[in-house]
Amino acid sequence: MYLEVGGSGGIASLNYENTFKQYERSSLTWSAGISGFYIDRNAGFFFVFPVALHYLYGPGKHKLEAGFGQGITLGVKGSFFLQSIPFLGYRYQPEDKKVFFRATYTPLVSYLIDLQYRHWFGLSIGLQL
Amino acid sequence: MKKFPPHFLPRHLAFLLLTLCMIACGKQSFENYPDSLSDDFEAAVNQETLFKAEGGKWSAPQLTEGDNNLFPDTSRAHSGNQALFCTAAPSVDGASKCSIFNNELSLEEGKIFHFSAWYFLEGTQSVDYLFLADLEERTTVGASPGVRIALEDSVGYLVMERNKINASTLYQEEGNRVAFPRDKWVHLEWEMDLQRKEKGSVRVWQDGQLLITASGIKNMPRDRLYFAQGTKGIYSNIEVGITANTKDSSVRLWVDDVEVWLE
Repeated sequence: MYLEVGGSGGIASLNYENTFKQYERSSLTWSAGISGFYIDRNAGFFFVFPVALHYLYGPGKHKLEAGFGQGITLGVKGSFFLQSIPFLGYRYQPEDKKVFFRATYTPLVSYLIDLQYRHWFGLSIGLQL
Repeated sequence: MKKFPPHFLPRHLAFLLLTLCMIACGKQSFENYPDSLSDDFEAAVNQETLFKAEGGKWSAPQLTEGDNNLFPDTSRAHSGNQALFCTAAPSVDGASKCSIFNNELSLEEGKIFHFSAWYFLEGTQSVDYLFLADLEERTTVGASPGVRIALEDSVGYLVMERNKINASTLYQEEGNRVAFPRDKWVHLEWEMDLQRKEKGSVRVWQDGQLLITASGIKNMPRDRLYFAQGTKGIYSNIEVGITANTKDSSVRLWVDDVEVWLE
């Protein structure tokens, strides 16, 4: 589990991550998170679900992290939208500690109507369950 | 590794393709709307006949407070026999609105937007942040972002507010500001090179005098994190009247000879 401030979930998100492939120097994981925000009484409340695949490279506690996913937005009044959420960053994850940290470059890329690219960043603190 | 059943990918791919098609069709539908509008308010006989359902040119009213009201009025007219009359209470809990809008326009990025209308603002009361005209884009996710013409300060100086597109307000040149005249017909003209990036322009005239000019600016919304998603570079909505009233005073306003067009 990790809490990300900024990042692929927008302002902040709570994410669950699971390793599904472990190699000698790298691993593959998937994550699914949740975030939300309120716009106004006309537009209402929106949920954001960032889902992604992560590639982690590094034999020790210092890892390069890269990945790709989708930020799924669902409004309580029926709105739906998708954005791509690629990311690249650094993860500090000691094997003997439960806590880990991430710092990532997390641009948001709209593509459904036209291509719009916005720079964004994220900082995470996580707990290995 | 879990194996998915053979029909899994085609079924979910079909859903994704259908979603993409629906969203793409949403953009196409706005591109088929007209890019101009004009109304001298001579044809309407009551409030209902201002709107398309009764043969008028506007989509609907925005009336937020109980006593806010608007109707075609023969007591004042810039041209012809009548003008649109709007009266609104002060904005206390949220915006007090008394306006009409057309949300079936197609004002596209890259074109030159022109707006012309005559306003009669009655009285000498404070009109700090009385909004007179709004342009809005309908987005899949968001609060209908766009730009607005307002009067700022108790005296009332024209400004162009861009808060909803995450940009600064454009003001008249300090030291040379001209107040919005009261108790007379005033011609407001608004011209923009519509752009989502910092390469657009704005000019606003009051009674033929150029008061606001800016270039190398954006005047249309773009997608912003998750707060605004699905912007298309097309303004679909124009709103005129008391689009949001000042907090300070009740306002009585007439509007006449509204024209919107692109070149």
